[in-house]
Amino acid sequence: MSLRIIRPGISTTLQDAGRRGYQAAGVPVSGAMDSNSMRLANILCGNDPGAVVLETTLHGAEWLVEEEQLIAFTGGGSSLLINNQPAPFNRAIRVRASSLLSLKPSPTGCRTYLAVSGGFKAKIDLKSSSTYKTASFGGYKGRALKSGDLLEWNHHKEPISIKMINSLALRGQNFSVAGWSIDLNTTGKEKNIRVFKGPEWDDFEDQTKKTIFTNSFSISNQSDRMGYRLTGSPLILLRKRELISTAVCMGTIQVTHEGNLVILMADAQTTGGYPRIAMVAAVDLPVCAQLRPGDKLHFSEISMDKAEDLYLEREKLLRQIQLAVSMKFNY
Amino acid sequence: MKGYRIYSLNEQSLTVEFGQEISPAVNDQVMALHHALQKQPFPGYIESVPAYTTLTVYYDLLMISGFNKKSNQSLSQHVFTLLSERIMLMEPVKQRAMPVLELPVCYDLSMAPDLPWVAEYCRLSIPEVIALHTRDIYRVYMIGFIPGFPYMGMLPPALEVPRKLRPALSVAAGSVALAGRQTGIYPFSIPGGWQIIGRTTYRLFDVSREPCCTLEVGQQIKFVPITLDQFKQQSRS
Repeated sequence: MSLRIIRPGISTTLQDAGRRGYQAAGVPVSGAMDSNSMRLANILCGNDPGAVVLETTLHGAEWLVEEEQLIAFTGGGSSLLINNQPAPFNRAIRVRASSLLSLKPSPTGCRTYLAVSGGFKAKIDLKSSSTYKTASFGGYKGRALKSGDLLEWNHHKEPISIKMINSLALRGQNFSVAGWSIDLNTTGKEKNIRVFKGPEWDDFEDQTKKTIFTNSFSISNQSDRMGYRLTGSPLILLRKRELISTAVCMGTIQVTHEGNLVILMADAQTTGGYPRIAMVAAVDLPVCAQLRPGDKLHFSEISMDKAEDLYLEREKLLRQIQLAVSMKFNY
Repeated sequence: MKGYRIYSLNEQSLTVEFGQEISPAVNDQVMALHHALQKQPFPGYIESVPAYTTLTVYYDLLMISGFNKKSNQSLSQHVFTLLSERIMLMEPVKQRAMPVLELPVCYDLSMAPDLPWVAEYCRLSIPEVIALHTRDIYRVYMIGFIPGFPYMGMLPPALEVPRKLRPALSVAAGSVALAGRQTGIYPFSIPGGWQIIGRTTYRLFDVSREPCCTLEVGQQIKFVPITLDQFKQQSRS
């Protein structure tokens, strides 16, 4: 059985850890915008951290769980009602058959993730289930969800998922929430995004090199899974030259001809020809993923050494969390 | 091998730049390192992305750190050293003659929304633009941007045009386009800033095939004009 899409929500797609290994053929990496939240949602359900999850933007979605399931919501941008009763994020929840999940407004964050035990079934293209709309790869028919779509999930559950389900008695309730939670907290209003100077840093005027670290910028409405266009004082090139196209990736901050900043996100093109003024440190990409139109951010510089350490710390933390959950259920 | 430069893109990638001018020789070096890494990946290698003059190498930091206890040098420094060694071991690139592939292009105005503008900008007639575009043999220098998009060059200087100030909201799949001294083809419908002068029936990307991208870097391309009727006929078959 499955998840019936009553109202799809904004840009709602199935995603996994992304499509690696095909960028030489121009294939973007895609995958969950906020990889931390994707992994947490899966860990909460006893899944592999990279199992297929549902990603939606802000509020508005209404999904019907047609068969009893173990689910978890993570990320930000919405709050959850199950059959009109408030329910928490960052916890495993056992829901009865025919439960209506509604996503209501929330003051912070942008991307919400839903994992179900066993993971969603999805089309696999080039070894990944991540939806990439431009080429109709992966996901549900390679596109964003529409009303009436029916998402299947895998019936095989990990033994740990079965233990989790058995630990949550429904006792006549619509749903039962786990007594434990995991939270990495990446949502908030004013954000400091740590960056490296980009390869074309020296193409910019001295004043621009200062303003990028002193001014704040806002996320504009022209922001999607490919990239965020920022508003703020325009950045000025010292020397305008025709750049030879080269690699760009999630976190590349490029400057358009009008002097606006664009942060490339999960569906980033593989190569580009705009000057790259800065690059977001990997540890702050989930923070970027949770920024919504209107949110302010500012940039500060980080050293390569520090960024490596923070990234490794985060990866180790996620592994420790997964291990701790396994141990809690005796695996 | 000399005259290259390596720089960090971020903490999980390094770019090797083999030159600052577009040339088949530089592009061959890019591909030589790409193939060498694909054939014998180092532990932690994820993938590499060839461009005109650069190869960007993405690596798994966690795996690199597992093999190299972090000492006083950053892990990027370690990958830097590793790549330098691989470049030193690279054999001189042998020129291989690739056969010329003919791609049918329909230059009918219904499929070439920017052809009149290009002709005016270049101070040429429309037939002259078509004649120039189909005159030379182009090299595929890189595949990038979106799946299967070939960057080909170099165009005759007389056809050099700027990108659009405001990208078109939707470019049809198969559109043949110009930007600077480059010519390219959009395999999928997407917003785009290049000047559209025609459309091909040739399928550039097929996810069900291996390899999925039909053109490869180094390939020689010649455009052959076809009529609207021929285009419709080929699209059906």
